[in-house]
Amino acid sequence: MANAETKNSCGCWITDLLAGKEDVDLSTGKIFDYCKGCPDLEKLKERASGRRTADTTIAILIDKLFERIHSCRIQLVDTASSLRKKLEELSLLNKVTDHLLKTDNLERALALVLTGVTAGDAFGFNRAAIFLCDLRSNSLRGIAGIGCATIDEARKLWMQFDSGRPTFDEALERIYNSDEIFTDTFHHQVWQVQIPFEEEDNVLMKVLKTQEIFVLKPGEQIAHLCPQLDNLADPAGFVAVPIATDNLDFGVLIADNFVTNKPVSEDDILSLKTFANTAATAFENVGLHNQLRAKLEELKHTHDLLRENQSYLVQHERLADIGKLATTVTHEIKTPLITIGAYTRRLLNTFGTEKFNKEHLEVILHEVDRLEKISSEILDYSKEIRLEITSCDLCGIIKEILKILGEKLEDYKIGVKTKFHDRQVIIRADANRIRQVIYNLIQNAMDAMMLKGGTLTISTHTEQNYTVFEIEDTGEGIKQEAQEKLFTPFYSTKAKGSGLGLSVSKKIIDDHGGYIKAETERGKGSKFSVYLPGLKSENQPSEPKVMRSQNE
Amino acid sequence: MSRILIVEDEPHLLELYIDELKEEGHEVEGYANGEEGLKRLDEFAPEVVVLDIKLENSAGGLEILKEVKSRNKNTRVILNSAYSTYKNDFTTWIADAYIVKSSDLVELKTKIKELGDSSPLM
Ligand SMILES: Nc1ncnc2c1ncn2[C@@H]1O[C@H](COP(=O)(O)OP(=O)(O)O)[C@@H](O)[C@H]1O
Ligand SMILES: [Mg+2]
Repeated sequence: MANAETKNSCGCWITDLLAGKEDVDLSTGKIFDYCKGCPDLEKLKERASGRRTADTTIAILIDKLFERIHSCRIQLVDTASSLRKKLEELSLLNKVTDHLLKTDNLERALALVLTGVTAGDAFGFNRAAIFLCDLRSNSLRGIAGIGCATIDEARKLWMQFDSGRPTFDEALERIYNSDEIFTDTFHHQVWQVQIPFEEEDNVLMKVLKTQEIFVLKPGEQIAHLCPQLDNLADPAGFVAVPIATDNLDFGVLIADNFVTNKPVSEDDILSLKTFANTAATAFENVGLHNQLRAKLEELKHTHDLLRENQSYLVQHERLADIGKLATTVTHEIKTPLITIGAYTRRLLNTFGTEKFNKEHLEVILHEVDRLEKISSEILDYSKEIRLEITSCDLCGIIKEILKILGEKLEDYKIGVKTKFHDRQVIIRADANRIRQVIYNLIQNAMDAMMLKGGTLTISTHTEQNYTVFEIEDTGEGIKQEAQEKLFTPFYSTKAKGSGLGLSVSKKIIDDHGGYIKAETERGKGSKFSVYLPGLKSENQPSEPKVMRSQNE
Repeated sequence: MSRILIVEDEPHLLELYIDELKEEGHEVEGYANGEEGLKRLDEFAPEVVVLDIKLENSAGGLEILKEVKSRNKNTRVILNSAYSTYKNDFTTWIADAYIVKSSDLVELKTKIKELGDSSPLM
């Protein structure tokens, strides 16, 4: 190639031309980079224009050059517009997220997501629908759809808006201003759809199970893959994506382009996936709200029962106030604490070489770390915990903790006994949280036996539908007046206790749908039993995990 | 070594962050509030932004997060918060990392290095 032979510093074809070479290869993409702003190009132009008879080779080459520049410019414009599209998507995602955050209404959340997928130009699918798992009927059910059932309907709707189809904001207005959000014929058709979980070959069930995106290939018949969608999914640009969080499979989102027949790009699919993930979390939020609301109702009920017992109520409210106050104060304390700790660390690094300084600084640091840990506990306690449920081995978790605490247990002269009812005890739970509970309980047991030593017994068994584990100590036992307050936040009889160990543990077990109870005898010891619901056999079929509020 | 912009409303902590990160060899600018930080965003073009989100004005922190990401989604953002469970709020997902504020800066430094080294803006 000509370029390779030139001795010229930038290895450029213009020099070749100036030197009289004629077979210069202009097809290489490098030409554009080299030539922009090259002084030799000016010389070349001068030479071409200075001649009477135009130097045709040069003229043609310059033409070609500008063609290249032009095509590069087009590429640039393309890149810019695809960037702009991405930005639009992001801002749409932000908008939808914003609104989703504020809603606690499932119907509105559904509408927001579907509108995000169908309105405006960002995703711009023609229609979309959501199917959710329903454990009551053991099926995937159509829950909401946005879009038109026929092309005529689409045309009529789009004529109402300036830009042809509604923008996101226009569609949003409709969501917030109408009493009934879902009125489309399409929605009612979607509403009829019900796909039993057993239909394992059904394409929507596959999406749900494998968590993989499905795109209909040209020539494939949707009727064969999912008969229920025969009239509802267009062969042009049909996509199905799972809606799921780490905790839960909610269902499936489908979208198609039945009016415009636009094919779906790789990019569209990825964006849709992001969108579906956001949707899933939002639904989980809505689900949580519903659960919370149910819990509140429950609480109200309890309060009604206890109304005669005024003193209890007063005490309870005061506790809640104290809790709130503690959270605020803790937050106020934590920030300066971090500053103190961080500066101490810095001092330790700079002046810590002298033994005297080092010891003093380490004392400060030790105390700060302790306070930091307690304040984190308090702040965590005041926030909602989200569980990450998996199958885990209870025995494994217990053994692991005992190994970590081994040395300390020996120091305290505490012997350990374990009685597991099986080699492995599999539970469906958030392993980290359960670890936290067991750790708290063992820690308390150790505190109770600190002075005299004793025996720590950890056992498991099953009782009806519960898997139970018990942590028993031979310590001092729990005083009568303390027994009622054990699980109350900030209640502690220890000089350095946070009083949160048991209340956090109770909260975690409650969130798992289980319960925790304590038995004690003064001077003989205490036993804490934790009941976790659920497992009948080890090999439970892997049915989809479903939003609680839906199946209750 | 990266350009780092920090938003932190506790002045002493901010000062310390700046010092320590400079010692690590980074180029650092710090601001006590989000608006000031945003003003510098385009010119300074940081590879990594460290944002403090507080519960009381969480909207503020998250607004800034969105603004940073929408101006340039390649800017890496680390959220630094006093709450560990704030993670559950999915607006924070657009951030590249979430760390719980601590007096021990090791985690912050490690994250900054990790994100800075992988930054496409270098
Ligand atoms: N195994 C136990 N034996 C005796 N007392 C216990 C035991 N577990 C808990 N307690 C009592 O319950 C209180 C609250 O426990 P907890 O919530 O873990 O907070 P903390 O351990 O920080 O005091 C303890 O201070 C103690 O009085
Ligand atoms: Mg405790």
